[in-house]
Amino acid sequence: MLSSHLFDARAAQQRIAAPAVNSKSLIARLAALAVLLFVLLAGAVLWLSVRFEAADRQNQLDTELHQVAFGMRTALNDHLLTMQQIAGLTQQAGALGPTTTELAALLRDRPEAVIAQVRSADDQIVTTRYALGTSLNSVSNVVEVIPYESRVALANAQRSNTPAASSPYFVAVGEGVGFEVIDLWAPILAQGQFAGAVRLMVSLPKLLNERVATTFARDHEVSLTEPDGTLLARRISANRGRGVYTATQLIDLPGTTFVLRANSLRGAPSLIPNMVTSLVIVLAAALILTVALLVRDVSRRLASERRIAQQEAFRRAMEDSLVTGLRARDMQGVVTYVNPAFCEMVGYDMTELLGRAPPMPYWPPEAREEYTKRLSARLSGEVTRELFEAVFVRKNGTRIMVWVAESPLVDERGRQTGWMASVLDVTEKRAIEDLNRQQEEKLAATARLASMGEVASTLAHELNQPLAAISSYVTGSINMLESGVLRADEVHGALVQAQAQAQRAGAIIHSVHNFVQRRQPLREAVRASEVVQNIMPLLELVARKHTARIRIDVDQALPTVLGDRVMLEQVLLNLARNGIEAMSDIAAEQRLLVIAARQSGANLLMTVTDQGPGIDGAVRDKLFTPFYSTKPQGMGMGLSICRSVAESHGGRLTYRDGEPCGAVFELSLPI
Amino acid sequence: MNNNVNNDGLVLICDDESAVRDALAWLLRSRGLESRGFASGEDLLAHLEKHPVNQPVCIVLDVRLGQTSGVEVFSSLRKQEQHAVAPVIFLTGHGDIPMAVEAVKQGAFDFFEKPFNDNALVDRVISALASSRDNLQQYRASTQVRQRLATLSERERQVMELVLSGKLNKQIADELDIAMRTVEVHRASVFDKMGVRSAVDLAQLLASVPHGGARG
Repeated sequence: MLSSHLFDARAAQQRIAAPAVNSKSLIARLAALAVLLFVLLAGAVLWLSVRFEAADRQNQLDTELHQVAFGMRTALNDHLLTMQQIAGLTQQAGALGPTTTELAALLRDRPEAVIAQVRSADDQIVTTRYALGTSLNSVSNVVEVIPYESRVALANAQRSNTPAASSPYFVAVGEGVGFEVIDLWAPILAQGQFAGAVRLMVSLPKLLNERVATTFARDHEVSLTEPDGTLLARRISANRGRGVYTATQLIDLPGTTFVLRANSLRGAPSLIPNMVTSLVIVLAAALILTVALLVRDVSRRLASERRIAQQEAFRRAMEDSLVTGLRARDMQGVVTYVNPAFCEMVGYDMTELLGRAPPMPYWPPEAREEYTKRLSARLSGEVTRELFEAVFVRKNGTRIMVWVAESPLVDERGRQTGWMASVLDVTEKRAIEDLNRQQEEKLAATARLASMGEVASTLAHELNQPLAAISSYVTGSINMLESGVLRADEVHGALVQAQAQAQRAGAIIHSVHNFVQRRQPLREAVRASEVVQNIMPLLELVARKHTARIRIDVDQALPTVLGDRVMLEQVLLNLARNGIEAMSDIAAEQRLLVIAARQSGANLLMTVTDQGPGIDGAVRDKLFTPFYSTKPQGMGMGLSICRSVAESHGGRLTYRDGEPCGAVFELSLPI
Repeated sequence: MNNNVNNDGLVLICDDESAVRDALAWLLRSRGLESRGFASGEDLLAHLEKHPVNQPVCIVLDVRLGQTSGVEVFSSLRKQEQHAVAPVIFLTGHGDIPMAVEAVKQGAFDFFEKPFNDNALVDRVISALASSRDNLQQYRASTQVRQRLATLSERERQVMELVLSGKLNKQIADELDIAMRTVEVHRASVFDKMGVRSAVDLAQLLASVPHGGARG
């Protein structure tokens, strides 16, 4: 039962261990998933970061270019407005158009303007004024002859009576060199009639140079183009635009429209700074996650520690409440654990037992050798699991009988670290068993030797009655005869009665004789070793009761003797029992009974030797006398019958003192 | 070995073995003693219930009886004064001696171990019968005294007590607060009923009775 408990515990361990393996692989998978998520997150953050940067740049460019275009538009519209004003001024003065001074003032404030001119309605040049640094030769042809694009604008201004701007046209300066310009026209009205117009030629490259802030121009390639994309002017800068961030704005004037373009010198957002940012973000996220996991892990650990503590307390309570003693030993046989029940059983404190190496203090001195042998056999792994019986000596010297079930102690890695034993005190149980067995034995022996005393006692009682009656009859008859009053019939009657009682006594004797006779006639070949073997179970019982050891020294090859096996067994059993009982007053470890058999000439000699006090002279003389006993309950029949049995086999039973002490009974039988 | 003296006794033999009973009866008869056998203690006790002892009786009791042991029979005999006049001789078998010794301590007359010396037993039986005879006489005398005492009136009893304590008639009259003449009448009546002539006789009679019935 105990062992099955141990097995269950191990199975339970395995049941606990199995999910642990599953959870391990689950954790590995979760970890892989976490890494994947981490990488994806990092990528997403990086991508978003780059996207954000690009959108931000584009937005900034759009805003800045919008401001530049706004400035440019404002400036050109301002030109037109100013021209209209000065055109009106000249009308009031009576002369046609503004004066040279006014034209000069117009040019002075507007660096992008190249030429200011007044023309009459019949297309005659009234006044022409050049901006500083303007090469007269290069522009002369367009000053005098109005190119087609400008003429269209002039016609529009004339027709609508409002200022108008011309489409851009090219002014050639030399061989293949020149620049694009636009003309702004403001009509001059005299008495409501078109009297002429003020012309302001604006150089587009200069417009770019003057109206685009240097800071903007430094970072961007700025250009003006026709709506169809034809390049009109480009602001000179160190590099070409990268084409990553581009923006356009329409510059629309009355009569014409062109496009302002900006192409950022900046390339696509670079990865490294963005990566650093995203890494910081991701690392922060990972840190938070790690902390969260750590907190969870710690709380789990605490919970499991609490659970383990609870289990520990449960286990301890269980161990403490057990009446079965538990003892664990390591592979060297050193005690590593004992429970209170075990301590109580052997009477030693836990501190006295823990760490003790064999021989253990509770081993009986006479069995120390045997226990050591058994322990070393177990430690060397020859015995894996067993239930055995042992005797322990308590600290106070009393002996207890225990059952020990010992099985390997295996750690979580499946390696054996020692032995766990459960120990059950069976002393009381054994005492009861012994008692029962003794009674059985007694019963069984009734028909044999042990009953001889009882038979004799019963016989005495049975015989007493007829003997008493006979005696009384005879005495009465004698009294009658002596008194002289002889009544023959009465005396006859009494004597007949006496005879009947004498016959009854004879019948009793005869029945006893029959009883004894039944055991007599058997003669078979008996082997000494068999005789010894047959009585061993009974002898061991007696020996255990008296804590004595028995040594058998019988050669298997001895010749057989002719005899009654049962009777010889009884003789040997009787001698052995006497020997064991004779040793009850000496120290337990010295109680040794030796049963030996050997051949001596034509005889088989069987000796029973004890270590007791021996038999002194006075007793020795009466040793084989019937009804002589030194035991309080003895009938004094044992040895006398033993001798009779020996003699009926043609042998002898003799006694001699042992060397150096003890008694030796020798049974000699003819072979 | 003196035969046939004072044969007015009866021996009650109690043994579960009929042969022993028969043989003992024969033996006793050979010495002129009458006997009766009983197979069990119960039979013996029943017989004694029915036939009170009116002659010297000796009981020969086997220690080993069937249902009731000899010792148990003995103790129930001792409980009744009437039966106690009969001495008991135990017969014991092997191993019963401690029991018999104990019985003797409690007042048994003697014990014999089987097989016994028969005429020695008979001699002891005769002694027991003599003893029984004395017992019986004593028993009878005390019975008679008790019977006479029972006939006394209350006043007579008071007067008798005072007489026994050696007081004079006058003192008795004073003590009981009655006339001296009345004391004399009671005194005469007491002497008459008790069958004595003097105060000395009366004292002797009551002293011979072992129990103090008069003082009660």
